[in-house]
Amino acid sequence: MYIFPDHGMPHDRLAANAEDLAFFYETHYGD
Amino acid sequence: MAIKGIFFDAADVFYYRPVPTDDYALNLLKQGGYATELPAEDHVRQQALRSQANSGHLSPDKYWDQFLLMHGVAAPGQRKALAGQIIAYSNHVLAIPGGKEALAGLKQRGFVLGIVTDTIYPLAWKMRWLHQVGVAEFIDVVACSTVLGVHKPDPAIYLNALQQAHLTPGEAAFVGHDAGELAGAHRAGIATVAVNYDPGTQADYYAQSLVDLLNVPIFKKPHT
Repeated sequence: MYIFPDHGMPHDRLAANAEDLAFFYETHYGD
Repeated sequence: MAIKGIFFDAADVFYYRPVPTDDYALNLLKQGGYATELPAEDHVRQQALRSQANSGHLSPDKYWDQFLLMHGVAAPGQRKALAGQIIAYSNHVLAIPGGKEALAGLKQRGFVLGIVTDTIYPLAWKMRWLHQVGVAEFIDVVACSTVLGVHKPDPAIYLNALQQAHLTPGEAAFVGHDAGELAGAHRAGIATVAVNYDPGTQADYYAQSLVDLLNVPIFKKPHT
């Protein structure tokens, strides 16, 4: 059955994205 | 064969809404004392209406009007007001962290970048949302269901993106979160990468976040 594309975003997935982004900036632009 | 182009799903990959639009609509109905559950036959009809709307054969206003009518909102004025609220809610999207950084990195590596999107809304709205979350500037091609008249997981929509990018299936990858959409890309002969995915989702590669896409083996090497 076709599912509407907008599923919502669980908090843990958002947190994983935010943590990896912080690490990305730390490793690429940190001191 | 080296990957030269990367196509992305949009909703729940680059942006999200605090609650799915469906849930928002159902909450409105609940608050108004209307039915939130549908009989089985109406459920099938609702799926058919969504498919029509995603294919551009039914306008968003008409889709939500029919949705509300099925849920027992009999007064046309009430349906119009509620549909307006739902559409306004749809227009507020929030960025998932890392989309801009991931696309900037992939673009720097030389990949053609695209969006393969299902929507019931006009392409211009979708592009505005992608602009709001900072990724539109990196996008080279867009295959949009309401423009093409087909929606994922129909292989035709992925093949349209390939055609626009002048690539063969073996030269492209699809990044998505939805198991059915990833399966559609696989059927079109495109490599699949899951991000923001549900447990059990099948794909050729997995990224744990948007910036982790930069670590996916097939995205490491810039094309020549």
